[in-house]
Amino acid sequence: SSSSAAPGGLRSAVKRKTTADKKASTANALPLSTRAAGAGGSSSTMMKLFTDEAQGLRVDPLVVLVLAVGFIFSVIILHVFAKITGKFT
Amino acid sequence: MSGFRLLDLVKFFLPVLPEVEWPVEAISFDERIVFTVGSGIIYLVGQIPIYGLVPNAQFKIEDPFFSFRSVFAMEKGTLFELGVLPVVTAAFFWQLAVGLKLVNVNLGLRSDRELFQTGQKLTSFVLAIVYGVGLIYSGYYDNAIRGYDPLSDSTPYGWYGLILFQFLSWSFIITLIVEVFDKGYAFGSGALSFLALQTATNLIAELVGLEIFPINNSNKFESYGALINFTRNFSFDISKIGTNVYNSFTRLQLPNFTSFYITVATTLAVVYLQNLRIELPIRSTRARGMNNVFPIRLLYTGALPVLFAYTVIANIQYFGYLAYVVLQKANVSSFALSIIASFNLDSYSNRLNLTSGALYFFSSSPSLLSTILSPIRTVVYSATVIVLATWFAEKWSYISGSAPKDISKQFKDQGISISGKRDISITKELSRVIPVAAVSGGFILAAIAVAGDLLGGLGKSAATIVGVSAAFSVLEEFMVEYQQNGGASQLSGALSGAGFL
Repeated sequence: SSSSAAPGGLRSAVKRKTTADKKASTANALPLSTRAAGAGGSSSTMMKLFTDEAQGLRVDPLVVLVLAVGFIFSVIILHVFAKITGKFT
Repeated sequence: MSGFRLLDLVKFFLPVLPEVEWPVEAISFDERIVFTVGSGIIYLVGQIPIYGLVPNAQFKIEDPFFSFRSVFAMEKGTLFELGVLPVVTAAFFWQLAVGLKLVNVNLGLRSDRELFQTGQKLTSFVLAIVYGVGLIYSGYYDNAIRGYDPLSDSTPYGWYGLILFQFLSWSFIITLIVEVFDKGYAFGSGALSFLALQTATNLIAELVGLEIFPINNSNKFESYGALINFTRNFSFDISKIGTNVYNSFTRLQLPNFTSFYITVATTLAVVYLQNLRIELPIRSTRARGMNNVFPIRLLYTGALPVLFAYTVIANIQYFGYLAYVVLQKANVSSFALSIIASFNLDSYSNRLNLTSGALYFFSSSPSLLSTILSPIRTVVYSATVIVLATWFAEKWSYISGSAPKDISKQFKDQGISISGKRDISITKELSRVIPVAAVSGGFILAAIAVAGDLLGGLGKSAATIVGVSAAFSVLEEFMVEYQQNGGASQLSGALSGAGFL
């Protein structure tokens, strides 16, 4: 009962349209997470935040660790300095 | 690309935010072990007290957040004041917002993914600044700053600035270390690995820690570890045994046996639950006779539901407390203030206990007695945690890339299908099992966490759940990596002597 009769397929145009709409929506569905989009990301048991490489101030991972150690070192030196010089308010 | 998106705000900050380099070549197994161990040592060494506070400052600070400190590894008075709370809150906020389609982001585009990732980092920094400034403004450190008397001196902006700088920079550095982990330089996920490490070391320290601390409002000294303290105070005098045992279970300022037993019981429960799974028999469509099983674990979403529920509660408490302080300093009437919360300082442990107000109903009870005496709060709190965790478990199993549809796509790519069922019905079979597993797992873990809390565990049970599950995930990733690449590892060769493993 449709004028543009495609061979085969469902009889009524309404049903054909609904299946076509459903197929179109699943094909165009936006990925809901970075992992679904194909890149690494949070899995179901682990929470990962950073898994792509973005533009930004690039640092080497060793630099990050050295920075952390350096910062701790500086705080320790401040503590030692305060203790040595007695009352340092 | 319609109109203005939240994500476009991030573009302004791109040149300023540091970004760890993506690995140029595959990181060798040995190098990953070195990074993991190195970061672990940095985490542990980072628990030094902030400069500018008096010695033993952690006993002088009046603490309104004692009920969820251990879940986020927030140690008061040290550089880890904020713990991983900013990172975890930012992660949950962005990943849920995208998964529930509240934010207009197309993760299929690489540029959008990069902005998404930078958005998480920026939110983590901004949240750390908000939390930090709020803490300082609320006078959290006022009792503990060196040479400052809160009643007589003027506000010490210099000290405030120095303290804020210290724990904020440390929070930024921790975010960068989490990034190092996540990019594959080390094993596991950064925030979770850190929580596992912290829970493990705290468990041992609370049992057998040897340090001696002065008790508030007295001239006595006690050991940090519950067992050590018990042994030192133990005497065979009949009249004193009762008080010694009672004290060892209920002392408030330092760890006691109650929290230890709750931690141990929770660990055993989680280890047992970790092994419960449904095994779907699968077969290969390409090779004949290959029979394997595909396990769907009860804890399908790991400990993330519990972490999410506690993140929400922690943020409610944090921002509620900040609102309370801001209104208090603006001299709002005390009746209006008591609608939000009213605090009561416990002089033994310097904790600010909530006694009434809206925040009261979202806090856990500090002991078994108060659980029984305030049933409404118990019910509201438990219901909140369990509902949040279950809702999250159900949503997360769809949006984290382990939804039935995603798994059936992976199966199809690898030529796997379920034995005894049609190839087309893989999605249907999986969606019969996976949501049920995820929701039940989330519910059971939340129930264990709440039970531990109501017995007076103060968030230790939730911290243990997260820590043990995180340890399991890291172990899985480690073993998979080892079995694939361990042959080339020099460390394992050296440790195991001659031959190969």
